[in-house]
Amino acid sequence: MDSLTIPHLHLLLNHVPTVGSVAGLGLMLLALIRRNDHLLRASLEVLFVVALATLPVYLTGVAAGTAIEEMDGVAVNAIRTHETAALVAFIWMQLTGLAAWLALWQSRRIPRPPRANVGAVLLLSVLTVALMGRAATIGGEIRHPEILTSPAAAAAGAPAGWLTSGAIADFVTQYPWVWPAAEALHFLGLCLVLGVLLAVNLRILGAMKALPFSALHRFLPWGMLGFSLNLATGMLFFISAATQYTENIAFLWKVIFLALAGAHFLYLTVFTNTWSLKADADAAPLDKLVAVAGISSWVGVIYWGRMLPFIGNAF
Amino acid sequence: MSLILAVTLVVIVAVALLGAAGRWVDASADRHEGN
Repeated sequence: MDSLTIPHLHLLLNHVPTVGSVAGLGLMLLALIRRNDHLLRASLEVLFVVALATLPVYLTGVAAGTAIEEMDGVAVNAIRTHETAALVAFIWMQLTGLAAWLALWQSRRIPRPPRANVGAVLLLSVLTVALMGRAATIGGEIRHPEILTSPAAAAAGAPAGWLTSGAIADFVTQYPWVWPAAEALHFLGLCLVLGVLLAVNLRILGAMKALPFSALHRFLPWGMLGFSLNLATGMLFFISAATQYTENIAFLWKVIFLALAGAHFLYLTVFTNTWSLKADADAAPLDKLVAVAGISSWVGVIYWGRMLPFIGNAF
Repeated sequence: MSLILAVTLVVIVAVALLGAAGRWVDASADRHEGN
């Protein structure tokens, strides 16, 4: 394990969004051709999980870029071009995951996922696959000049435009209102997601038994909106002061707990054993254990987030 | 003072947008259930 460095980790993880988005799209196309709703739900679940997994890929990518940019044989401009392409692909992957989650949430109440949502996920995932492929190709060229498809791109200067990590960092640090506004929204988003998930998980644990689980399931989009708001504001912080996070042990733990919390969110959305919990019914012990694990994951996210400047070295 | 005003405005607008999005998604459950 001693030899597992951040660049290694990025090289290991970076196949997940590239291969995963293709797998999710492939499953979805197969489900639509076969008119199989179970397969369609599975494809939406795959796309949501791949969107979750894309977060550590982007974060380790930024850390890996910092670690290798001084090395011989590394095309620094290719790193910048790859980072920009990866950021665009990351954003579209998250939008795909969000739309897939929404279709899964809606399809709980109706026999099949709504057509409009499935169409939106299909379009978004086609675009995401193309953008992921582009980001992966440029990423491969950082250390492999033998497969260079566009020598001009590697030789050119840093990428320009508003959707680059440099432009976003400038925006956040140049205007004094951006960071505090994003920080306030990050905390509001956290309250929203924790409040919703606490209510839902407490029902599984036996509180508010008069309510069926399906009534609390209606709350989940508010939690997902809080989650999305925090992802967006959190990315603003990360992009603007990346080294504060990439060299911070507390941030590593925060991301690990975030991945667990995200997976638990999907569990609450789609699993049948909790969904079928009627009013006055008691959940199975295993479901209660999962509810405790879900709450613990969010406590972990909050604890490690708060410890960024104390156990870690941020700010 | 202008900093506090700017932060407050951004937060109010963002929370209003969030509320509108939440309301729209919540209403979609009623539409699909045929309520």
